[in-house]
Amino acid sequence: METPARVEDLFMAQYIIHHKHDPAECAASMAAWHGFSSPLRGRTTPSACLFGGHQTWWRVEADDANDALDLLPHFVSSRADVFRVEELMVP
Amino acid sequence: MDELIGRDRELEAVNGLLADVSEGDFRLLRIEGEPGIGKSRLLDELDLRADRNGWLVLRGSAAEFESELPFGPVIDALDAYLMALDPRAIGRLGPDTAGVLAGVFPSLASFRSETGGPSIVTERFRVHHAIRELLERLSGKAPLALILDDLHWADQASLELVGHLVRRPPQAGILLAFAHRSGQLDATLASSLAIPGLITRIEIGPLDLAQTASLIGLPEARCETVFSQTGGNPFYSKELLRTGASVGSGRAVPDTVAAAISTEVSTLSPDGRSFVEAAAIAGDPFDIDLVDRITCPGGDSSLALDELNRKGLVKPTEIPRRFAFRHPLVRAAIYESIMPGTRLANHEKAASVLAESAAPAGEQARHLVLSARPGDEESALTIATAAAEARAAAPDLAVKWCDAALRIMPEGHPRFRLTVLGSKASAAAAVSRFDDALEALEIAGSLLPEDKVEERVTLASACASLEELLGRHQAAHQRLTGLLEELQSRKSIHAIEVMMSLANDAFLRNEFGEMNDWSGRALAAAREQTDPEYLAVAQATRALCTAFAGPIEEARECADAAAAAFAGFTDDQLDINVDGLVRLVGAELYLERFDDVIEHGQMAIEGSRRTGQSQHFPALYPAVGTAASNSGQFDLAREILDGAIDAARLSKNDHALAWSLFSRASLALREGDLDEAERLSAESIELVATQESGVVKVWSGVIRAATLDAKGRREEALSTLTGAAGGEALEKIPGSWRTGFLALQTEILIALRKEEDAARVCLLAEERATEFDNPLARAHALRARSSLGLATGDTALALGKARESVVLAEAARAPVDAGFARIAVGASLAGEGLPEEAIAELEAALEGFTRLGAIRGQKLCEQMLRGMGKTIYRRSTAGSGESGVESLTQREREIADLVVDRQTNREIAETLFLSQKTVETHLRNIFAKLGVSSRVEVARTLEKQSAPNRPGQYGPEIRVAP
Repeated sequence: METPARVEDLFMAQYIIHHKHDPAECAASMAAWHGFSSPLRGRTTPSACLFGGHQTWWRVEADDANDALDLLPHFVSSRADVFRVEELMVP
Repeated sequence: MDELIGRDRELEAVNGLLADVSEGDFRLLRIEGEPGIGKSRLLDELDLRADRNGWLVLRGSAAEFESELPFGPVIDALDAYLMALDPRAIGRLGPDTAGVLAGVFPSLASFRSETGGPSIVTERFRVHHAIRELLERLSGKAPLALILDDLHWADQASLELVGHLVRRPPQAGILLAFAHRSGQLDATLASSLAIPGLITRIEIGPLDLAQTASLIGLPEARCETVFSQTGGNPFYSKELLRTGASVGSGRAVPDTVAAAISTEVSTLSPDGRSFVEAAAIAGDPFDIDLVDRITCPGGDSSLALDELNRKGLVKPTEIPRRFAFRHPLVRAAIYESIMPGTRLANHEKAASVLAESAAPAGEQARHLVLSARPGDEESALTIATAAAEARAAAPDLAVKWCDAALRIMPEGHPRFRLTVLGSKASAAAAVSRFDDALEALEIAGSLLPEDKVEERVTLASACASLEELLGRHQAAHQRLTGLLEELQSRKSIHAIEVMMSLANDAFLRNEFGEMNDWSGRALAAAREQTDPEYLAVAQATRALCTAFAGPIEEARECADAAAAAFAGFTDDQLDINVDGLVRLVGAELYLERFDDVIEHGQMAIEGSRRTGQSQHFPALYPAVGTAASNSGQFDLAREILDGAIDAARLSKNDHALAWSLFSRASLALREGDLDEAERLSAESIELVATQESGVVKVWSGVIRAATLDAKGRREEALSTLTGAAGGEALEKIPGSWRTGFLALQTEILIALRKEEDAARVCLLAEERATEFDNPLARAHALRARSSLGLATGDTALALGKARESVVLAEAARAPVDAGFARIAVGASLAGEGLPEEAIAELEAALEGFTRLGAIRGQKLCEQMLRGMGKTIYRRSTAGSGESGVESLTQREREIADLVVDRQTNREIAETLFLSQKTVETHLRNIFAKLGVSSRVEVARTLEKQSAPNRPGQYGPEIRVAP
């Protein structure tokens, strides 16, 4: 078994994806997942839609930002921003 | 989701269907059963399994109190998904299809075009074709499951769409699954589902005691009472257990369950109760924003929603601000229990909220028809708008809404009433409710002031047409002649219009003499007018009548004059006079001007669409289709005539259906699909069996005879032909087309060894060809004479006549007829002892038939060539280089075009809804067919093929200096 060159290679990078849509696009942003293969399907994630916020967040692991967005269907990813994140110890 | 209990057999059937559809087949699943038996639960399971297999699952449902919204469950299933698609993917469907879809799906509104939408009720089939194409595209990447629940509540447009998909199944891996209550499916749809092999039907029965016990989580001994009361109905069992109610003596279970649900509602807080009652009015599923605004405008009803959710009366859907009732029966029970005053007030509020948010008129109308006060002018206007918008997709609903608008509108408002009555008549006629349409027009006529002569003439003509369709020929005739009597001048433009209607009336009765008389009078009067539009229409009418009954020279002159006049008209002028253009098309068909028929026919179709004149389609589509068929444009002919059949079936108009069917049978004969011709002609003749006479009955008979002849049933063909067309002389067949059928009769008689009879009929054919001197008619007469020459041993005569026949058929641009004339030449040459020349002629005919895809002629040539000792090698469809481009399938061609556009495989996959793997497979096939090995070569081959001046073919080769 090949040993990773660096310790950080043992861990995938983590990203927060922040998706926003208009209220009229709420149904479409859900329907877009139909027939789309993604490990994010069938899991819960924070969403503000029910309270009129129409924003959703995912925390994912991916090789890079594009791969992170590829976990979302086009309609959703095209309305999303992606941020690389890591755990922060709050002083 | 609860565990599914006691449905192993049903799940086995579902799994079998999933496997079939995964292979790329279309299948239909029909689930039926009593309310609460578990139909939706089985659909849930199908949904889950298909989704797990990577399918695209789109699901919609009809709802009990929203059954009037056109395409309701289909929109519910598809609209949000379509909104999520890349608009370029929809654009790839083409502007026509995208435009038609935009008229159905709100999310595609940006694709709306002025001409794309189906504005005409009889063209609903265009919507069906577009949705079928859309579904095929959506299934490109993975199989598609389209699930429609509670179809017993579905609107007419959705039911018609399902019927269409059964009759013309999509060519793709699609599972259309729908559920409905036993015995409550629309009768027309139910009858169209009797197609073996395509449909799997599951009737869900009750659970047994053990299964019921397992479902409700009680030991069997404690479950017996519930089981005996519910008979194993899962929903009722759970409801009784939930509420603790028991069925009283003499009471039905549904009543008890409804009462139990009402009791459940009565335990809610006042806010909760108010919210759930408003939700029952708003819909199922319902948007909480709408319910919020009905119950407490500006307030927050989240606590009430929480209460309902906690008590299980409503449940969330996958869309966050949309909820559904626990079961449609729950909503029905709540709706029925709302006090009448509250119900009325809630519908009124819902309409008002929807109006404020500029919701479509249809959404407002369904509340307004239940709540608007008589005399509410604004509501009447909204309902009338909704009726006009629904007319194309749901004519029955449009009629209902027109009636409501007329009822609610205050007294007076004659202009409004005239418009709505016209709209009602058009919608009613489109679904063959001719009595209702006639009644609406007669009421409209009574509202017209005496001095509105033009409108009265138009109305009377429309009434007369409806009376013709109702078989009241005498009444129609009297109405028109009575109107003519009333008019002060016989030379006025109004009189001309009435006389032209009388000519049309005579045409429908097959009274050619009378038809000629009226058209002559109309033209004479029009010549005294200075209005070029009326003159053109009168000339077109006269051209049609004289093309039917002679003199043919006058028909040609009038058609030339009318065509020249129409060519100079603006679009507005064309639209106003589209009926004249339709008559010109008819005349041109009988003058064998097939290219003109196609050009003018398509102009008339567009004009009729723009002006909403659906009455022209039953004649226009067959005319254009027949011209395309005669000139060897089989694909165009098939598209038009299949559309005509679909339109006629939707309108339930037997007259139009028979017309389209015999025209399509005639095309099938030309193509050589005798079984199809047999099926279509049999249906056509059955439809007109009860009619006494008329042009459609005659044509149904003669095409049936031609089919029987092609099938070798000659005695039957002869009696059918002479029986339908008025005896040996076939006097009921108008114009030069009679010659072709006299020639057919000659051939039949020769085959029956009745040479003397054949000689007599052949003479009739020749006389008719002389009187109605058209090239194809003459070609037919010459071929008949050639056949007779062969039969009587005069091969020299046969050869000469056959050769003349080839020349004339080619002059008429009728390649199938030219091919059969070549066969006659070949046979005559063989008879003359010139086998090499005969073979050359037959090979030329074979090549022509092969190019056209006319199997019957192809087989006949091959048979004769084999008889002469020739070996036949069938040409491969695939080729290489440029010829290979023609062998590409439609999908391969689309992909090749995108390669030319320099798209990557991933982009192509996204654009065409395909997986990249599928694109790669298609590309491999494209490389093989074109004999190339790279994308660049694909692009080069296609670009070369589409270049306007191909070297050595269309123009001189241009060499560019290095």
